[in-house]
Amino acid sequence: MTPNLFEAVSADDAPRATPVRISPAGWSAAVCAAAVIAAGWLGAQGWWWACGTICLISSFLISRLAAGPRNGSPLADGKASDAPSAQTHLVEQVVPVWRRNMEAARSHSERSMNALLENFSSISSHLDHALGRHGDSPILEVDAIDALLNSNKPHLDKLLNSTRLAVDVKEEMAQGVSEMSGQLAELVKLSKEVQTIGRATHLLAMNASVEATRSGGKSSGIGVVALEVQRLAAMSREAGTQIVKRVHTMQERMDALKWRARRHDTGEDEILLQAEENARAVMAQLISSVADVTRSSRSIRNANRDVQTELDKIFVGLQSQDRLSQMMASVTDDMQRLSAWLAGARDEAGLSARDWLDRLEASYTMEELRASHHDTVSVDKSTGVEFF
Amino acid sequence: MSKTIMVVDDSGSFRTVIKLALSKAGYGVVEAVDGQDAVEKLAVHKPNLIVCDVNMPRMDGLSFARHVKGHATHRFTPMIMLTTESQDAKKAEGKAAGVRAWITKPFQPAQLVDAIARLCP
Repeated sequence: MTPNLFEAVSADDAPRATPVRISPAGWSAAVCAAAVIAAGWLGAQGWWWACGTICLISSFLISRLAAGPRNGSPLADGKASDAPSAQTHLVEQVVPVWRRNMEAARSHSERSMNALLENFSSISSHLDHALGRHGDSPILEVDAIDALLNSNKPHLDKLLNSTRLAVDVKEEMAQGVSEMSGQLAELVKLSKEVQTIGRATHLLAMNASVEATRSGGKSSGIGVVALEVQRLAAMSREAGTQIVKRVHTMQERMDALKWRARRHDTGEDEILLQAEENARAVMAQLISSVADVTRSSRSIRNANRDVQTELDKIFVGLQSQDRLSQMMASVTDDMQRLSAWLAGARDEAGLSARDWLDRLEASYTMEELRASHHDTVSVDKSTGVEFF
Repeated sequence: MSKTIMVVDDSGSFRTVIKLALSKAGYGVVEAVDGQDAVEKLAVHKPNLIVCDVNMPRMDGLSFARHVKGHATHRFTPMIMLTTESQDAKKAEGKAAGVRAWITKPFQPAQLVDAIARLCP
């Protein structure tokens, strides 16, 4: 038969080699103490609902211990011989329920934490998606505009080429107008010569006509020629007059064009400079607008970085779930062993509270659990990475 | 092509945290719920690095590490243990099993990403 620890009297003073036997109240006190420590740790981690569950269990145990044997219980009735089996029966019934409750609490908390993590992960992913995975596109500053323009000079030159071409055409046309003006002056000179020739021819015709009259009348051959020359001279004068008039008109128009051209005349360099300045102004405005947008993006990215930092902290905090699960698993596994042992299963550790506690301690994976097991303060070891 | 990291942990929440951190860093992730599951998945996947918990059902992390180091295909795959265990004895066991780094939970996701980048450049 499995040794019954409820016949034991003391756990603390027993030597290591001697099995320690614990009273039912001792077991309850031990479980109660463990529950109080667990509740304290969970409370410190912020797991208030899990802490509350354990507190309820603790308060039940404490109230049982404080009240002592109740009326109607085997101990109260003075049936000392029936008490161990009655207590055993009670523990056999109650401990599995505790274990199931703790398991349910652990499972519930894990599901909740997973759901929370999923939500935070989703938030983080959405932020990343909205801002781009790396969020490190260059930021344009207004100060960098000149540098940007200089670096893009070939493109700017390409833009200015059409302006240069227009300037060349204008210069060519101005040159053409100037040459035509010179040729018109030549034409005026020639037309004046035509007029002079016409006048001279007219005088010659007049003289010929006088000579014809003197030599025998207008019907003579000389008279006919003189009249004809006179008519040609008149036509010649008229043509010269018309040419001079037309050339003057053309000269006036040409002069007006030259005057207009001179009035708007600016050097090629100045035009190019103006064009370049205009291009720079437009590009500066454009770049300034882009810089404004990128500055806004940078603000959003900074905000995203801050959110990510906070999310990282939340992730670290949520890792308490794993620690909570392991802690509760240690307790529930031990409850399972206790239930099995109470039900008659063979368990060598059942002979001694120290063996039982040593086995419980060996199952711990965290320093906090070992510290709380011994009711000491755990040393906060660095959580850095250790490379081998 | 992105590198693939195998994450072995029985805690779904941990796998979620790790997967998020690694995905953001540009890694692909293969998940396994314990050592045994990881062994089965290694038959299909060839991860560039393995991140593994220690305390898991069916096959614990240290046993899995020993399995990996004895595996013809995966013996040179670097392993990082990510665990609540902080006992020196356990770390020594891990080192003997060929583990390259040990991170004690709770951890900052950036710590894990940095460690992976260092072991799997």
